[in-house]
Amino acid sequence: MSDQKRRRKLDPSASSSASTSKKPRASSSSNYAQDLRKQLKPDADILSSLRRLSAATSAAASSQKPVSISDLDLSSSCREVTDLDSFAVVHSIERLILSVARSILSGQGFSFDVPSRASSNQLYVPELDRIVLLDKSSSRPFANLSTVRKATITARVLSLIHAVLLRQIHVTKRDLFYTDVKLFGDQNQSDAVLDDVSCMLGCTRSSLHVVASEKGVVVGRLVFLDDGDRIDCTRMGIGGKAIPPNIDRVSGLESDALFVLLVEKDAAFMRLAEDRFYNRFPCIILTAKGQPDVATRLFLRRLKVELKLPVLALVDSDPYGLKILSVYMCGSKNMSYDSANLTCPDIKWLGVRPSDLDKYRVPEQCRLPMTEQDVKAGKDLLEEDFVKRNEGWVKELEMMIKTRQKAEIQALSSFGFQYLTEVYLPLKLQQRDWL
Amino acid sequence: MKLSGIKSAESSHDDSIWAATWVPPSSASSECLLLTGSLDESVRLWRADDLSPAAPPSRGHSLGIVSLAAHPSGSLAAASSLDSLVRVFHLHTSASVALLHPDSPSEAWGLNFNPKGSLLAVAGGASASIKLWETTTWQLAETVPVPHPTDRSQSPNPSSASFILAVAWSPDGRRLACSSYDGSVAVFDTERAKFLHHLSGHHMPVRSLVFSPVDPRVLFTGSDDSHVHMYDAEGSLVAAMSGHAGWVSSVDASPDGAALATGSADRTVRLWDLGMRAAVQTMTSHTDHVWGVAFRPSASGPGTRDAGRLASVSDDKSISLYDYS
Repeated sequence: MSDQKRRRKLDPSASSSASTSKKPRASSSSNYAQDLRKQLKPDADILSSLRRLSAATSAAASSQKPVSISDLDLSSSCREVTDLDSFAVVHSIERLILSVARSILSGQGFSFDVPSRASSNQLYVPELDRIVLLDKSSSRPFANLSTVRKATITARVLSLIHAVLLRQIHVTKRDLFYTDVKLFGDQNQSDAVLDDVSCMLGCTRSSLHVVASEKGVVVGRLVFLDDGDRIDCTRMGIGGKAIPPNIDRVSGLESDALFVLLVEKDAAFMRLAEDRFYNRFPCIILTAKGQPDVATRLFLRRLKVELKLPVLALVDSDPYGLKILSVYMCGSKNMSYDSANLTCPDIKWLGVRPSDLDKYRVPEQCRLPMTEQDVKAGKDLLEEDFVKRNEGWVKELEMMIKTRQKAEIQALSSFGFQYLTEVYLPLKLQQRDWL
Repeated sequence: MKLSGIKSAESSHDDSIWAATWVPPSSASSECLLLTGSLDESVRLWRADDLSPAAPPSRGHSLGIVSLAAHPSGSLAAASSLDSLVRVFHLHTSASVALLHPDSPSEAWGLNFNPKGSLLAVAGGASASIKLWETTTWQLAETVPVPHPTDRSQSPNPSSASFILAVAWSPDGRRLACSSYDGSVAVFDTERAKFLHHLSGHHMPVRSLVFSPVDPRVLFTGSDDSHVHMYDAEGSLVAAMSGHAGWVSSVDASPDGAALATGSADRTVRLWDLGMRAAVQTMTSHTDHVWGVAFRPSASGPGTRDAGRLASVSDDKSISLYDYS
């Protein structure tokens, strides 16, 4: 009894909120949600509408010629990186070092010319629908106290990459860091210099044979060859296949899927994989478990380009979900120089959208209030070009900011754990409710 | 300024002690006495120097005492208990004077007499109002509704009304402040019984607040977010003091206005120097959550510096007494 009294003392408002019982309202909203189930048409109808979507997408994709920067008449020259094979990279490193040696011998010391990756040097190109780097660069001389450390690290990284390329092996970023911990100090330093080197040489980071560790997973109707091994993603269990970080080892993509479903969170991914969603509606399900990493973005672009499938995204209804979508679509600021290979334009926002919260009558206890930071992030997103181009997204973001409510994909679980796979997604696909 | 522990009385009650207040000198006693109320449903009176009982325990409260207040005359005290009743009784004879019923349960929490002793303000808990009772007739003089703070999106559960936890009177009797479970503090003008404004800053329950005895515009609040805020009661936050590692359950200002004492869930009592706005001392005499701290009112009136005394009570059933100098 004294425990109850203590609880009352600690939280006097608890019982009073229980007395204003929310139960009847919750059950009425869940009844409505279950009623939506009745609106579902048989699977065959949904599949046929999906087929029309994928046909439209592949037709659009093949009719579009790939535009490159040189085709556009840009006022300042832009820097782009391409995939080079290892010999070309080795040659360019050797050329760079030869010029360094020449400048030392002529008594002028040496300096590296590093392109700037700051936001002032980035430009969003609407025709290409991605961010590119302009040509501002800074010099990093050895003889200057403020840049001597960076210049040393750059030289060391160049020599390490050269060694790796000659042996035709791959290393991870951490591996590279550990070869000379005392010099690098912090892994962020060696990572930053690695990005600088790939900009300088004009090649992608994977052509330097430096790979990131695996983060994302894929499951669904896809068969591909990973370094010669045949992987069937329908048979990868619930966990799925880890997306290989080394995209050039991936070849021979084959699929009978109708679309690619991009999921933000691991929890939703597990739900879809366990319910074998991809067997009911043929698709490929992909997740980077949060912020997208380079390997997932490369893989997604590969899927889109080779299989010409539409990409639908399932993210949380908050500004960060849309930010993640933006990274897939237009690239991140860090890797903007490599945006040609990492971006996947034309991703459709399937859910969870702010309008869905009311449409599916998600109960109040699942709707979280947005903090000031969230609202600010949402307002910043409204300023972004890729959002402004899409009317529907602008409306949804404005609604989110106005109601100041956010919700996660898991909010739909309040109607039942399998609500996502049994009612929500099929209904969305049936109603062609993507933006 | 410093605190030095004089005495700690273990097992002064049979269960956790939740409320403590000093009783001003009266006709029955020439010195201040300490009144403590506990979960064991009794209220006990103690002498200031040696914590010896000054009167037998007074019963008649059910379910445990949440808050105590002593009438400025020193002869009466009011205690609110978990059963939502407020019992007013004579201190030395322990005879009940009045039993104040709220309209429904969970509508009485913290309480305080105004400096003149003419009104008793009771924080109305779930009724989202403050009830003002006349002390002569013990009739309800006024029910002052406490409006919701406007920025509801910050509060943890926007759909529940805020539970009013504590009330405090300014030393000149013109302002009344109340604090609630969602962290907002509301300030009222007492002459017109009118709501003036909210003071924002806390987003977690504010369980205790006190006006400075020397400056009627300065208000101190302690919150579950472990910070102590100092407000200008006319509208703004002046300073935020941190240092506690847990909920700040109780704040009290010293009679000379130079120091603040706080009791916290981290089992410590801290003394804060208001000139430096920092904690100068931490007392660790308690072994459990400190629920109440109270400075003895100065015999020569507020603003003077005589030997002060601080009492703290805790869940560990003990009362600690400190000399403040």
